[in-house]
Amino acid sequence: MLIDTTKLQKDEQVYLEMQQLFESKGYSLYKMRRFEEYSLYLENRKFLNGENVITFNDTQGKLMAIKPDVTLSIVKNARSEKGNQKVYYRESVYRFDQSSSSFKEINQLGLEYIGEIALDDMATICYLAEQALSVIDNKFVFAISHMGIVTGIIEAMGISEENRDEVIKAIKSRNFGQLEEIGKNNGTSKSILQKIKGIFDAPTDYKEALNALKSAMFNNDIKNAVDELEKVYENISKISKGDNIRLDFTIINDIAYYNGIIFQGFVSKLPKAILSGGRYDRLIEKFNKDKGAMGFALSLSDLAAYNPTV
Amino acid sequence: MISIALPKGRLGNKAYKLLEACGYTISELMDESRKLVFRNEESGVQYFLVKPTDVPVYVSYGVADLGVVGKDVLIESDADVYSLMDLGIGKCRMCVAAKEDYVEDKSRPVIVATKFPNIARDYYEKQDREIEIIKLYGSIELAPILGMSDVIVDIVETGTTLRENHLKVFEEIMPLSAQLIANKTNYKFKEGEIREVVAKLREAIQ
Repeated sequence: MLIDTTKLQKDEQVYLEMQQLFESKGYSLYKMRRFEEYSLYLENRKFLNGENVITFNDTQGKLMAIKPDVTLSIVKNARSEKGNQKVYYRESVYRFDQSSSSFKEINQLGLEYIGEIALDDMATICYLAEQALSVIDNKFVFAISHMGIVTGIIEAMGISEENRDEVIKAIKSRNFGQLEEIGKNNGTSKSILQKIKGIFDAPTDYKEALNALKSAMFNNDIKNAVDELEKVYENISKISKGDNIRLDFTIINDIAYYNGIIFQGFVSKLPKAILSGGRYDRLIEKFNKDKGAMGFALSLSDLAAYNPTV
Repeated sequence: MISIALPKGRLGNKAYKLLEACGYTISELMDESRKLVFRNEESGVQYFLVKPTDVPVYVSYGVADLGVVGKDVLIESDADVYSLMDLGIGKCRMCVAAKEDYVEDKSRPVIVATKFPNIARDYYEKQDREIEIIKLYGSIELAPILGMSDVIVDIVETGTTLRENHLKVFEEIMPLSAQLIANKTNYKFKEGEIREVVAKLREAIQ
């Protein structure tokens, strides 16, 4: 190679190395406009976690937004007649930063697959995300979960719509005590709570966590989740060593958009997840497209000054 | 090495007693020193003494793997951390209190003085009641006495302060106690060690 990527800043290194890998797996670069009509974000506010957006009027008076997100634009523009679309992007998005009370530019590297998604494709996407993490730091954790775990728990506990967020919060914060209390107030049976406790008590080692889920298959959502988690792991193991892969049920994305496999990536020197993604067929459905979709994004902005663990 | 952020003061001392019983000891006496960091290579632990409201901050930024924090502070901070267990210490209640003869005027918003604006807002929002919040940093009881607020949302332990100031509890918002919290990234890299701390603490509490 002409460029010694290891001497570059981490964000550039990750981009260049991943670009090659993405293209070798059939993904092509997707370049887009910086602006998008504001209505797209207004209709999908929850997908952006209710995030604030920078808006302005264009020359025709139309209300426009400076992109806070890339996935929505890719989904909107995905042609329904075409076959599978495999794209990657490197774009800046603009989001409100709570700590500084101002807008912040975030440079993202991401990948999206829209179309018929087979088990192999899911495993490949997980593998690519795992590879991206390994380029950042060899001390990383790639944590996988499944939306069926949380929807299964909610259903089994008999939780109504209005208390759903409380349950999600308790799971996300690994707080079984809180979940138990919600269960008691909602008439959840002791045996169900006991099974859920088993999920909480297990370590995140993939096989041990999967076994804990297997002893708690109280409904179809969980059964399907276990089945898919098991198969995806088998498939990833064929292409990756998988030493740093964990199964962590506390990873949850928005129920309104995500379904199936979801994941987050962590490197030892950043306190928050650097990468996140998953299967988001529900978002595609909102655009009346009869397809599946899966992808991930990672923040290159957080990596510029990253010194990996030696 | 596990790093634990402890709140300065009574709760921190109680939490240290628990951790000490689990073998996470340090050689110096914490309360007699002005030091902020205590380290013990042998027991593989490092403590930071910080202001109680800062515990979730140190943990969410990952400089501390674990932290001990009151549920009140944790909920108010809305920090994105794991809440691994209830330590069963520092038990008290978050309450709405007011002057003994207080009668709510439903024709206008309730004026609430509190150190916990998020908890207060959330509580009244669930009841569809409009409020105005006066954020204070201490001696909250003074606000209704001087007529600055209708009620206060505050921690009640024994109720002595309230009684002495002719205030009383009108509603209980939630019971409170100390929680063991963890940084989500650090948990992934030190899962074995953190699970061991939790297991030992569970045993010590029973």
